[in-house]
Amino acid sequence: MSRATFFVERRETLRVSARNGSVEEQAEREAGVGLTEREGSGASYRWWDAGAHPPLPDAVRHRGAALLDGRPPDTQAVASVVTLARELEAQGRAQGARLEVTVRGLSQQVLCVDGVRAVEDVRQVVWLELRARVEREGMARTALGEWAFATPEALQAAAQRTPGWVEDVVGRARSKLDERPCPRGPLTVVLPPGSDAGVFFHEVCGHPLEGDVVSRGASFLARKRGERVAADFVTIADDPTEGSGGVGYRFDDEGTPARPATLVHQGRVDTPLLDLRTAEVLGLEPNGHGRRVDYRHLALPRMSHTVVRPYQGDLESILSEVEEGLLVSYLTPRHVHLLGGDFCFHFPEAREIRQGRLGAFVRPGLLRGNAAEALASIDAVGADSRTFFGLKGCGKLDQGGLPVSFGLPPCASRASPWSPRNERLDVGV
Amino acid sequence: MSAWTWECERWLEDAESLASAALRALRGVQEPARGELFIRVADELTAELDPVTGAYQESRGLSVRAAARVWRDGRLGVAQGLVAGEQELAALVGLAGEWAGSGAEAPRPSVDAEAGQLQSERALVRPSSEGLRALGAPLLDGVRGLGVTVQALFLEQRAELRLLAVSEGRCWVERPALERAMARCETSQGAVLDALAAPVLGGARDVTALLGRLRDALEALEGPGEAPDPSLPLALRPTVAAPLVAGLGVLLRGDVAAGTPALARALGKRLFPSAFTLVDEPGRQRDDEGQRASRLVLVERGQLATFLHSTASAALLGTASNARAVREPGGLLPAPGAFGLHIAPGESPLPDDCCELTARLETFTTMPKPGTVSLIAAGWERRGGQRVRRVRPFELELPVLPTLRRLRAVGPDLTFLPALEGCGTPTLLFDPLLRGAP
Repeated sequence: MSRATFFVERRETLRVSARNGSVEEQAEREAGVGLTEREGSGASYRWWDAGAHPPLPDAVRHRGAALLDGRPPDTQAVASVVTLARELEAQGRAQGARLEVTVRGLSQQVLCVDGVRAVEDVRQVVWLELRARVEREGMARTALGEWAFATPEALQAAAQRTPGWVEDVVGRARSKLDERPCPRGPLTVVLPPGSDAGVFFHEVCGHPLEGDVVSRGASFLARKRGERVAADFVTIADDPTEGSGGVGYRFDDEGTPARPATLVHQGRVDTPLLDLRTAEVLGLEPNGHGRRVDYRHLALPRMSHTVVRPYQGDLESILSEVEEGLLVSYLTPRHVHLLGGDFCFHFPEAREIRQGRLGAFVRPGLLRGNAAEALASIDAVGADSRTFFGLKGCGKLDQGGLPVSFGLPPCASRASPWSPRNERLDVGV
Repeated sequence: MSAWTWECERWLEDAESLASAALRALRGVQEPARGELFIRVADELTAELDPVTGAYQESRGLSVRAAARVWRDGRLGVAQGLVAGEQELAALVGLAGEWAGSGAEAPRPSVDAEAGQLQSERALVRPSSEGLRALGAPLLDGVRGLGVTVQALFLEQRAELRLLAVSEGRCWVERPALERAMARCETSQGAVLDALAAPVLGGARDVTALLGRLRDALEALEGPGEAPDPSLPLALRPTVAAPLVAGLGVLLRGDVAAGTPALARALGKRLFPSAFTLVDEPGRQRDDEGQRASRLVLVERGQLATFLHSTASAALLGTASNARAVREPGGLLPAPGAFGLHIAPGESPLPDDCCELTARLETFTTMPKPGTVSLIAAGWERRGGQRVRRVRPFELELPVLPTLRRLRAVGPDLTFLPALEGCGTPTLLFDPLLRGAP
């Protein structure tokens, strides 16, 4: 028997970028409607831009009218954001750096209607990204800072703190001018709270437990469901309800109420991330993780806000017990093997830890290992969790740039099988 | 169906009515200002085929998106977005006109005298579920026969109408189409991803070449291997070599060259060995700024001959456009890019003794920092013309320009790789150039 669900979306985006003394601004509105018809494990989806859709059922037409009308995007905040971007860029210049400032805003209203229910949701986020470049004697180094706010007004309210932000980013870039060689071989790895390094858990726990990956037998982690893969104090979840400034929604893009999905519960592999289709295939209840980049796409099981649940201690106490290690603040996924768990991340920014203290920045390198071994080796999780919500989205199939965030307390792996290295087999040129 | 849906459908089928609407909208641009309107009407059908159950999920939609550019006193105003009727076309033109006075200085593409006829060089074929299923069926059978876990099978058909109208009352129309299939296979050492693509919809699609490439890659990965011997000549099969071509395509964009003085100064100089010739075949009559496109030799027998130019990037280097303006579907403003970039094939056979790299494991990006291609590759050690042992996957870092300067010879097996922006390359042969131990 076929089931039909309407998805209506209005999406306003804002982009302001300042660099080299000039500012570019762009505001856009997109709106449309999609119709999913499911039969068995198959599905058919049709989508239309606003104004080009067929006559809609009353429940969709009445509630969706405000989303599908031709109103231009709200540009009230643009002028103040442009002013802020100019000010920040000037602060970077005053500190001897070339600073690129990017502000992006996303305001999304969605409506899901099926034969049983009609639910609405509003999601808003504004990102500020600062990228500093400093030079000395022909050598250049860069550093990145990213912050997220609920609204442009919240960004403005926080603007009083911006001198600190610019100083932080420029200072890190400048410190990298004196960076040391990247260490080699196994050593302790510490991930700081609220950092981009939270992408590690997104990649090695989240993607392998997406319902479609699980249903195809392609996940190293799903094969261990119920088994212990980490210490008791390690709990990892994907939680769009946490409300700590990361990705959040009340209903997913299929109208299923949002709820946390515990990927690893007290060290044991637990729940996959499910949309309606994969829940049916796996014989489980959907858990509110059907997401799509926009109304032009079918929903897929995706992550939202991936968190490591806090435990005890803080970054300082964790560092104090490290004789020699690496504090890795930024990670860029390079390769994660879903079937076997081997991973390789590029780290563009890391600092030495020596005798419990932070040392110099080290040159970028690669962090390699196996996910099962890395999870098992986590021997400290702090209590001071913070949220990182960056500009980079998550890509899957033809759906790139889906906003995702991480909740990360400091995590350490002292008997680490993670192996940083700074050399590859490269060409002799 | 609403009146507008009917209008969109009609526009896709009937370029003349769309052209009339565009030209009417441009009447809002008052001389001496000049304007252009680029409109993309796209009928898109995508599907995911579950390799385990065979379940089929498809998504289809029709979209009309437009970008208006208006020049006044040499300054450019731009507006773009979805349009929901002829009135919105006019509104976009009006908005671009408002911003033109305060916009940045920018050159306007030339309007050649012979242009202006609506061209419909091919009949419109619309995407169809039947066509997509017919494409997916042999691929599903084929990948199931490979004996590995298949993570994803993704299928796509797209029919477009692209129209460019200018204030002088002229229009250009193209009807590009794309049919594409992509497979991702998991091995015990990592994932392999490959695709096929064709510029026409429907018809019998031969998946043999794609399956052959996948099989070749999987054979190299299905058993234990050893580290590569750095003393051996290196042979990069097309699947492994293609990211170098894609990377070079980025470096040779006019806007990139304009921001890289050393590269701009290299124009006309011999940068590479004479075995290396790089060509861009347009496969279309005009670029997305309406300029007549022809075959472009970017590197001729090692000599850097030109860059890829839109009107704006050409102006940055004080030259003329060579009709390589590309408008991406998501944002319709033109930027320089390639249409069918490939290395010209040679005649050199594989050396009897060499390190032959045939498999590239999927990575999130192949160029994490500008100018350097970073791969995880695997393959075979060849001795006496035979594959004698596997070379296990290893990280390979290839600075694009220095690596291609070390090219010794080029094979005859030109292959286009749709998974890498459609770039094409034959096997590339190098003297021993690996160093270090993986």
